[in-house]
Amino acid sequence: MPPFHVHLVCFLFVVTAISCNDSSPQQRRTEIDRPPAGPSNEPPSTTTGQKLASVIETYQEQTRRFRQNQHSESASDDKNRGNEAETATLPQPEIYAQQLIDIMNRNPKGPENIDAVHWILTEVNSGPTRDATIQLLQTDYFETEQIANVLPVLVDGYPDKNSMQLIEKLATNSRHHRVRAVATMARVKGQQALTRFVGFLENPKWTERMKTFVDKPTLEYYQAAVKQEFDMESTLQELIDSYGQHDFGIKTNGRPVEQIGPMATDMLFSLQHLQIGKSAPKLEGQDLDGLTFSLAEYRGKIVMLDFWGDW
Amino acid sequence: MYPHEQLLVKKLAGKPFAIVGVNSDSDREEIRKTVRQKNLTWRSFWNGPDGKFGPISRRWDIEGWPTIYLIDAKGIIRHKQMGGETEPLDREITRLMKEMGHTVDLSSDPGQDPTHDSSQ
Repeated sequence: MPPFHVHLVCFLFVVTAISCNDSSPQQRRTEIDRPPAGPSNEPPSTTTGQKLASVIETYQEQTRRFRQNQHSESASDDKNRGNEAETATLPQPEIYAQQLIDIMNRNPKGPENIDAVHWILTEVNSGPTRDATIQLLQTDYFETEQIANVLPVLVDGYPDKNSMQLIEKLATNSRHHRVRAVATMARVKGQQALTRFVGFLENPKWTERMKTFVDKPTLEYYQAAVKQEFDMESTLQELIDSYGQHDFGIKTNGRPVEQIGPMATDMLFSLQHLQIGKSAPKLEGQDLDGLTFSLAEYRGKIVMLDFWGDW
Repeated sequence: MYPHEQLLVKKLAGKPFAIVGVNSDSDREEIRKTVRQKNLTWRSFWNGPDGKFGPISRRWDIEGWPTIYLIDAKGIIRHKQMGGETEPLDREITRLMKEMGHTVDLSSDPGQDPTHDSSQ
């Protein structure tokens, strides 16, 4: 499993996501096999938190081992590759997710469960274990403040209907200020994601490809949701005015935590200034050699402003 | 993407056109090497040590790489695309050039799949 930010990047590259092998839903969707025998030989004093952590560690260890095998195979004789590659398979996160769910079900509403919930939502893009986890959030954690930690992961990628409905309910009904803050931002992000999705879908060149990213109910939900009235501008203003001090989620691998205020400010700026027909914002900074220059120097020319990276 | 950018630089030499990059690699020394090795002639801002999470891409609302904005001679945003698809890009550049009285032919070689050029 690549680190979390790789998934993020795969998603962000909607157009090029097709070449991003690891995270396309249909690749991740494998049949859920019977979970391997649970950790039955553990000492009875093991806490739920430890049990959950141990499942995640096992998964990470298996993944590491798989990567190592793969690496040494590709380095060794190519002729032997076929057979060996079949014996070592990438561990399926769904199997471990099911183990986590079983443990959590024996300890309902435990505050330590939320890290495992976060893990499942990060690693499993779709399918019954993800659905069950969202259901668990709804039933056991709706009233908690902790639920705010996992909402950003729900809208990372293309959110499903259940996620969006949970987020909408929390944005209005949670008694915790932080939960309402994070849920409102998640709502905005989800709305943006599905609007972007439908935009790509309407481009005949991408229609078929886009359909492979979400299931049919999600697709239908998106098509209905883009038509719903949603005042993005005033929601962003509300986030800046009332919820700006909260963090959006928790720190994860390779991804800094963002604060809702600056996030919303940037998003509002984009909505007001980065649209076709608007004056390009000022841009000044250092070039790769450390010399200062500015976009304004190119006035009089057509400028192709190219956000690029060599990766 | 580089071959297409290099092609544009070549085909639009002498015309009022410039590529301005915003590089989002976190290691500036590495990317300077790449720029030299691959002979990338256009100037780039650097998005800083936070790479993709740097301040310029944040301000410009970049959700994926590459993202391209076309800005006309008056500084107005005229086109915005996520991804390196060359067809819409070339079409828009051609249109903006025409507005300025320049006729250019940016049609790609037939058979060349523009979506595959990002792997160099």
